[in-house]
Amino acid sequence: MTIETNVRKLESIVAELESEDLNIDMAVKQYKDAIDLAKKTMVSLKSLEKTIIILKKESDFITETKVPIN
Amino acid sequence: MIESTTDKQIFTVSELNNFLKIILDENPYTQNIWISGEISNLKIYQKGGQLYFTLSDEQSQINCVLFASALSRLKFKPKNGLNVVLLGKVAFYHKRGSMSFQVAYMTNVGIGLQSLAFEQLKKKLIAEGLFDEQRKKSIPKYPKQIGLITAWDSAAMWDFITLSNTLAPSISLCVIEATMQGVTSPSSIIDALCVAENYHKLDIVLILRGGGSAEDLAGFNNEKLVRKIAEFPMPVVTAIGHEIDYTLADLASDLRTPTPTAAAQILSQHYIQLRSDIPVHLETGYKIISQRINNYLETSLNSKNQATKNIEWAFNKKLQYIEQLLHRTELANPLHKLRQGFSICRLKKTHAIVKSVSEIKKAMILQTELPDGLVLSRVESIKKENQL
Repeated sequence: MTIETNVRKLESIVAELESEDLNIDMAVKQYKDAIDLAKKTMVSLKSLEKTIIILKKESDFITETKVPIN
Repeated sequence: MIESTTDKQIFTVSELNNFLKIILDENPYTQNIWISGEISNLKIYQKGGQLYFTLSDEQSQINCVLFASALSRLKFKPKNGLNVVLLGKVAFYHKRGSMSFQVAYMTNVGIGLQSLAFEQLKKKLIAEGLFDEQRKKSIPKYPKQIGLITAWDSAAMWDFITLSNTLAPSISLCVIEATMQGVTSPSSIIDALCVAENYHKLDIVLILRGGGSAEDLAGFNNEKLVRKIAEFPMPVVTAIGHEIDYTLADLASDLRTPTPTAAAQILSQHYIQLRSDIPVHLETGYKIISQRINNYLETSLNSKNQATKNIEWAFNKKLQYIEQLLHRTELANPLHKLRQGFSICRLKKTHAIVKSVSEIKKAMILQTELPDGLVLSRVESIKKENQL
């Protein structure tokens, strides 16, 4: 699942958790699911962050140095 | 007389020339005689003030000299193409073995026949538009191969080849031999032009001939040759005689150059210019390329910075949102309610959550869940809300 899918699922679980109608068993289950999903999403985000850092380093060859014209 | 070892008389050159001089000097037919003809090759010798020229008719010519004293008595200015009558004598110079007519008096009869023929043909060809500028083909700036129509091994040929090879060695030269003087020269040059016409690799055909007398260059005024040059399918350049010589072939050609040396300079000029321009072109090219590279670098740098900003912004936004969802999850944690003093009451038997007193009966065992444990209790009495 992508980060976006996880986030959308998390949004929906949180919305259900916040509803008054949810019974406690369901609430506990949803809470557990929400925490698991949040952890999973954070792991994916951390991996994404590493990728961004690597890409940023790789692009450092593009610098301010210019070719002398004269 | 030097030797008489055989029965033959052998003279020295001096003896022969002295003998000829005596014959000519003492012959009344060569002294104080009148001759008529047309002036050509007129030259004035500034130092002594004497005038040298050639007097000719259709078949023959003789060198003439007019000394300063006779020249000062003339009532007109001699020029090439004039028909004149001369009074004078034949002089033989025994040292050189040469002969000339020493002029004592000269009268102007009018334009000579050869000059008249030249002018008439010129007029006719002008009227036909043969010399019109718009007929002339443009000369390639960077010719790769030039066909030289010239006399083999002539000074003009070597002058051109030597200078052309120095100034523009990349031009390939191809010599097409022709007779460049005398009555056969027009047909010989026409034949050479036909050879050039069938050799399709040529960019320019150059008709090359060094300096000479008006009679030497007369072939270049031949009508057939002039027409052939004017109608030639590729550019024709002429370098005939000296700077002052203008023939009809020159007028018909696409470019007339004053001398063979000048022809080499003119046809190489763009190569010379190109060579001197190369450093400038390289410098300009370097500047343009450097500027472009810098522009691309700047664009790439800006794009990279913008892309980095965008991804970081998107990442942080997502991170914050997930943290916010986590916070909301935490707030919705069911345990919070228990910590606030609320508890969950279940039927011990079925484990079902009790939501109403109507679900409970006396003596039932209830299980109460608290944040830190469970309590089991037996129901002793049940009171509904309205009974409280």
